Amino acid sequence: MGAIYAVVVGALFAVAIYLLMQRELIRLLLGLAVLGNAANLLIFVSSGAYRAAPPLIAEGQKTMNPVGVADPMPQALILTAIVIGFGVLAFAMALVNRTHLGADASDTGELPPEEEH
Amino acid sequence: MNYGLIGPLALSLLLVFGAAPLVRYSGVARSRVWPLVATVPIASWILIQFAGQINPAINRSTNFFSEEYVWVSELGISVSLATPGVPGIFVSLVLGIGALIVLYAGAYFKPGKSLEDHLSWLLVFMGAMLGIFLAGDKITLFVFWELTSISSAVLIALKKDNPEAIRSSRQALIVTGSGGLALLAGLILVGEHHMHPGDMPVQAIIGAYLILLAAATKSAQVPFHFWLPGAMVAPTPVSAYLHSATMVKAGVYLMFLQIPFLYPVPGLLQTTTYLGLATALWGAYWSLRHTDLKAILAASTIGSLGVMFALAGLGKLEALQVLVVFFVAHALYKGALFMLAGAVDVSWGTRNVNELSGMKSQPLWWVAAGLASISAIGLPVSIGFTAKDLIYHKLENQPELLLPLLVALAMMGAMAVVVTLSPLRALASGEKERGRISPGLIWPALVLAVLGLGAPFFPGVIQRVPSPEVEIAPWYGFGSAFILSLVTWGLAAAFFWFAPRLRSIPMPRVSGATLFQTCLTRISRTCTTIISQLQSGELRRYALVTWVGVLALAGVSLWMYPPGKANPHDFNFSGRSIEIIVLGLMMAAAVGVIGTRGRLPTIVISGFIGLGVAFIFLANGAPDLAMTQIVVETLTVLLFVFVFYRLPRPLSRNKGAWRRPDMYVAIGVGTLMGAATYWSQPGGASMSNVSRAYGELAYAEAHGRNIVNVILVDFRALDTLGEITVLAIAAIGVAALIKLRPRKDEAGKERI
Amino acid sequence: MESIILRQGSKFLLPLMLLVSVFLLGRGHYDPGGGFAGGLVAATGLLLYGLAFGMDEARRALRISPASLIALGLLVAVTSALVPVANGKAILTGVWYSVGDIEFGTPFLFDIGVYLVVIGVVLTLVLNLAEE
Repeated sequence: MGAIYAVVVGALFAVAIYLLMQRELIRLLLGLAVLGNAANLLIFVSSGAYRAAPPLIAEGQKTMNPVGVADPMPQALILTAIVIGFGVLAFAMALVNRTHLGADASDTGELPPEEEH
Repeated sequence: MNYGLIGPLALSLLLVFGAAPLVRYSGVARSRVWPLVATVPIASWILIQFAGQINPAINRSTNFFSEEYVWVSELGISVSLATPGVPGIFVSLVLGIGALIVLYAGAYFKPGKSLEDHLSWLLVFMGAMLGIFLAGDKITLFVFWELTSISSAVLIALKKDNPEAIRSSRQALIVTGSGGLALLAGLILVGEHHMHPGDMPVQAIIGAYLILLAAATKSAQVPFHFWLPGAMVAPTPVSAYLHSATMVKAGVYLMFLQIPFLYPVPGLLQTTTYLGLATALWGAYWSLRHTDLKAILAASTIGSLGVMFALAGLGKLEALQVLVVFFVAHALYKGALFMLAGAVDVSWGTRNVNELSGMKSQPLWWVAAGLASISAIGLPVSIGFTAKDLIYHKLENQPELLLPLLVALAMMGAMAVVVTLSPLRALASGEKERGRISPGLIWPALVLAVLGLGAPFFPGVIQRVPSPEVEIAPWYGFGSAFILSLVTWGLAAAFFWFAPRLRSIPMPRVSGATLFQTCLTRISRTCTTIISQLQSGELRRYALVTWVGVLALAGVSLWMYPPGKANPHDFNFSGRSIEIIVLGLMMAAAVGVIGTRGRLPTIVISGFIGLGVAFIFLANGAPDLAMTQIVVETLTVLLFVFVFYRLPRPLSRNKGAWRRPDMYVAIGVGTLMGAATYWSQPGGASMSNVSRAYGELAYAEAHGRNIVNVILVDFRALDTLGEITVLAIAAIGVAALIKLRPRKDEAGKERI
Repeated sequence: MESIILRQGSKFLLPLMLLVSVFLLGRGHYDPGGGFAGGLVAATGLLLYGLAFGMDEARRALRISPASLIALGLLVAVTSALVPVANGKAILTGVWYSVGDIEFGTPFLFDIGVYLVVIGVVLTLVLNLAEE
């Protein structure tokens, strides 16, 4: 199964990187969204995606039985990463919005050059 | 030896450095009490003498007084200061001439802003120079070495509105600053190696040559000499102090210190000597060709520095002792001549030897000039004569070195005659009598000149330990050295006669300075080209460069550390058919995002990817993630809808994607990340010790059963606190971006 | 979006989703859920309402500005971090109180802070981008 995961994660990264290098700002945003998903999936899969049970302590027990249970730590990392990723994406959208209104460009090639320092 | 909190040597340095801001901000240099500043170097000198007096009682083994202050204890670096025997005279020169320069500067600038600036920076420089001579270890030496470069560049650039001054300052800083870097590299490379012939590591040899390079740049040896004439745009007090008496000697002093350790390095001594000889002849020749008094003196300073280098390159202890004598002689007479040239310049507004005349009415000036010239020409009785005779004594049997030195000394003698005699010419008819030169500009020079005549009578001042081989005396009798002296004077007279003809030769168009300027321009043009390529301001280019860099770095590390064998689980697909279908849909959606043109379809398709990820979370024991992912994906699609419909154009088709590099870079990165995913998966359901510990403690200590949540709000709560703060900042950022123009709603109320 | 179904649906959905979100928050320590998930669900409910009736209406339904929610959430989180300090423990250490069978601890208070911040942040982000 890991082989298929590897192919999918690779494909998501390739698509994300490709989109990030396009001229259109819209594609750039899409690329950012795909990139976040790809990265989260990579972290998740590399901790082992094996049809394991959720990391919960069963009622009546004091400790978690680590056999056949998914690793909780990467999950905690990814959970924050999902929300942060959303914040970053929204921020990028606001930037694009501003750029579009300010510079009247929907295309990175149309942005005015930076001021010379 | 550790001297408790602070010792007299450190105090002497702090006194000088501390006086600089005091002078700058107290207004002392604007008032009539400015001569008080001259007490600073004198007080510092007294402190050092005090340290010298207490030396044997405190440290008998090394026979000199030293102090050490820990700086970077982890690296074993400390600042150590010491009063070794020989540089005692150097310290006296720096501080003694320093005190005279302060008085001279007061007469030169007159109390005011200009004097304030120059005096404070001269004090900084003085402290740095003193530090070089007091430095007890290499690192300390290097630090003060660099400080002299920097402070001298500032002193040159103090005429802020003169572009020539700024250019010269930059030139001096680049040349001597690069030399400083070479010095650091050299000192580190040489390290603690003892240079035994036959057992010398290559890096130590390279280090030795780097040290030579540093000394050559600082002491203006050919071909690095060009910065020194450029530095003459500085006011005369600066030129007289830095560019003749002290700073340029730092390179000579470095060789003086290092030759006893580095002499076995193959070719080093010869290189030093011939570099010195070439510089001596070059500088002496140009000193006769120039007509500007300061240019003449600068060129002859280069010549004298060459003589000192040649002596250092002899590699013998006696030669080094002779060097010290010549060092002292040169500092005294050249300092005096510079001050006198500056006096003429500032009083009469010209320093061209062809235009100066009528100096007969200024007896104080020509007496001082004459006395300084006695030492410069090497007439008895003067320290100049002593130094010249000692050189001839030591080189009697080496005519190949003696001859060029003799010629160079003769030319520089002729130079002194030119400088002294030209202004004595009678006034041409119709020329007006010139104004009187302020005595304040002359008597510091007179003091130096007189010291130059008297010095041979006090050998103990120059040599703390008398040396039988190099005996300092006012007169050595009529030996072969005296005959050589006679030859020198004869040659000098001839050169004086021919000097006007030398001057009529047209100046070459290419000089070191112009070459340097060309190099600088080329470098900055190349930089501009590279920057315009790398930093085009185009996002695509940045992304491309970044990802190509990632690929290259990861490729290298993959090649160096190839991953191990794949684990057998990787190709076990049984019972995962739904997951495989979802993964297939995600692949299709990913390709679809690139291929679709319509806005809404693109957004919807991109949403599939996120939902697919959520499904994988759910299927593999991560319900928290699945829940969060579903909601976030929904919100993302919502945002895309809002944003996309505000941008005007529909997505265009990607034409010729296969012909562009970004396609291949993207595929490359995708392959890399896929490979990383493949090899990073554990062989079976496994868990790190940290995760196990969390599993054991979650209920017992944190009263929770959902371990992911417990990690977030208890075990790693600090991370979460940081995260929600970042989220809050992102929200504020978005609000600020959107509300750049404050908008009003119907009610006329501003909102966020 | 003038859809009757959406309007009528979201009228019922808003209280339901808010209820679900509080439920997720409350059980997060024991079962899947928690402040992040709960906050996201609550914000989504409000946005759905906003889609149906307009974002201004959603703001009005919320009564409190999203920015204040962020500030309040951070305040709650920091307070929960400081409670153990008052008890002489290191910052962010979990402190638990129990009344009978019901346990209440500072980590739960912290989760409430997260919940509030997430609602505020998501609303600020989406409302700004939607209204522009």
